[in-house]
Amino acid sequence: MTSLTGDLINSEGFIRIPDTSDSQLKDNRPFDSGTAIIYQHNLNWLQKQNKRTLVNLVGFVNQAAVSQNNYGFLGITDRPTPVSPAAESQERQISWNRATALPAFGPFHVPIDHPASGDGAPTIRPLKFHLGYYNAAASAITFMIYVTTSELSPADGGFIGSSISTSTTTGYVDKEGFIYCDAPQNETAVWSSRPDGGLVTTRAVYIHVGFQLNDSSSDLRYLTITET
Amino acid sequence: MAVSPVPKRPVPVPFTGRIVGEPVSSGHAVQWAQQLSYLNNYNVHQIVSTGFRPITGSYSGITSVGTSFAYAKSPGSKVVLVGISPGMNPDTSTFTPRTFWANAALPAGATWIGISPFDSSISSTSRLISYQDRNISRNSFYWGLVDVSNCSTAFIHDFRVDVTNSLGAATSTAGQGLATLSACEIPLAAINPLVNSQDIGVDIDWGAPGSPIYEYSPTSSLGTLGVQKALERARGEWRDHWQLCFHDDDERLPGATVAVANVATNILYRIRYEATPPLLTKRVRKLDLGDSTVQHRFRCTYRHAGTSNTNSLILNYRPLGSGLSYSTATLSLPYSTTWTTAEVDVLLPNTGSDQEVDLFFSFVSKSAGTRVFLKNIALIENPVP
Repeated sequence: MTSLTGDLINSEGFIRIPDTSDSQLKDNRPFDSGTAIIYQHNLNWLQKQNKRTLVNLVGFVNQAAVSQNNYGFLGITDRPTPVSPAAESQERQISWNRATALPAFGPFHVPIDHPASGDGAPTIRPLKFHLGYYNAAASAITFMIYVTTSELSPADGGFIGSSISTSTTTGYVDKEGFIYCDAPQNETAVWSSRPDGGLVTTRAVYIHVGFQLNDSSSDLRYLTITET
Repeated sequence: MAVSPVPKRPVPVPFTGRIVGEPVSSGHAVQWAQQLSYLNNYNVHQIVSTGFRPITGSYSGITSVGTSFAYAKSPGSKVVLVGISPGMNPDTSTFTPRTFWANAALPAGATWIGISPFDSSISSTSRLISYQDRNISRNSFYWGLVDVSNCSTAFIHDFRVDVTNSLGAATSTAGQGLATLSACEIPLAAINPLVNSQDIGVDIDWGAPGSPIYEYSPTSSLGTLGVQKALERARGEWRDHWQLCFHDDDERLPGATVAVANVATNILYRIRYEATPPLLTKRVRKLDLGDSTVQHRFRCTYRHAGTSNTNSLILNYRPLGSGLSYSTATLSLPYSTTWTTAEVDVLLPNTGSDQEVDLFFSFVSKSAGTRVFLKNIALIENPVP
């Protein structure tokens, strides 16, 4: 499936067309396909380039190791504790409290302009992430990024995309990758968007970041997530 | 008149079949109008979405911490949606409920819409916010809506959020402050049905069958000139915000103290492992032909301690994956013991992997022992000329 953003004349950039009165844009003059192609290229180029920084942070969370807090379920009063957290599916292995996760980021109003693989419906743009952490010991460390359609954790509300990063390497770990998401089905806001009152119906997603640290000296160092 | 909705996804328009010099059908004009509406209204201006390093110390006497983020307003009637999630309840042993006030200082010309939890003009007792309880797994969020329609587009604004413990100076502050902060800009028409959209767009009727598409009026949203102008606005008014925010009273952490005069020190002292700079990255747009990229405003809100002297914050950047040496942009930080903002323009390359640069920040002083504290570092696209 080709890109939903359409064809481009070049891969160099936006093509400027003077809009002054002495340009080719004259009243009552015909408008030819060559100019139309430039217009279309410019539209497609902007669609391709206008991609946002969604999450950007440095710092550490420095929470207790999973062995000390039972994957964050220790003392939690608003959800049941699994008999064996490690045996649960990945998103259910932690409690998503502050000892095991950052609060959700978002809402992000997202365009649906990425072709699905195969014959599926178009979906949101893939997300690119750069994630860095420090593994103080040669024990397993796991960082999870989930894309959801609500503030609820992926364990409570499900998710439409994810990336799980696990490492046993001691020291600094830098990870980069893409998260490909299913199309969100929720429609969250409608707003007027054109001079004639045309309405946009937006869909919003949230990004959840969870972690399992087996050493309390291990920690998050940075995270950047952008549309791509 | 029935109003057609903006498409929920763009429709690719191939070049196939278009021959230079041949006339264009009105159907193409409809597609442009639709795609412009789609482009401009799904690119909601994302201003900031960041997390904070938890305050781990127990600082008696400190009751308030704050932060700020930079905001470059886009033209027209707009609203900024500001949201926070609170830090952790400082009482780790007894789980006594703790509360705070979060007061936001708005840019000049901005006003709250409705009742905001961050509005300091409202009785403080009515808007106490609870810190997150460690025994609760679900996080809480608080939101405020700000009408920024009357804010200037000529310069970058500061939004400040201060968090104050309700129990006064005697309390421990460990765990307090913010956990996350986010803000995005949406059209005022999104929430107020009495406000007409001032967003760029082209009336869909312009491209109706039978309408000559060469017709235009400089004062209306119709015609090819309308498309042309709308394209230029779409190109120039959408500005990416990349920024990091910090608690401003976090100074008891290891600071960026210059050990040796005139030698760069890694600025991100707020991360725990400063020996290796973090691989910070930013995507750089490419809009015009040639190698030029979008100019950015490199901006910092800071204050100093220690010997008064000439200081600089240095942005080190290179195309991601290039292996090239880092280029630098220097932001002079005049000595100030009160919070101050400095900014300078910088052109970032877009030739890296996925048009990204990797970057880090360093601090240089002519005097050993000088320290710098940060509230905010931002890279914000300048308007495209």
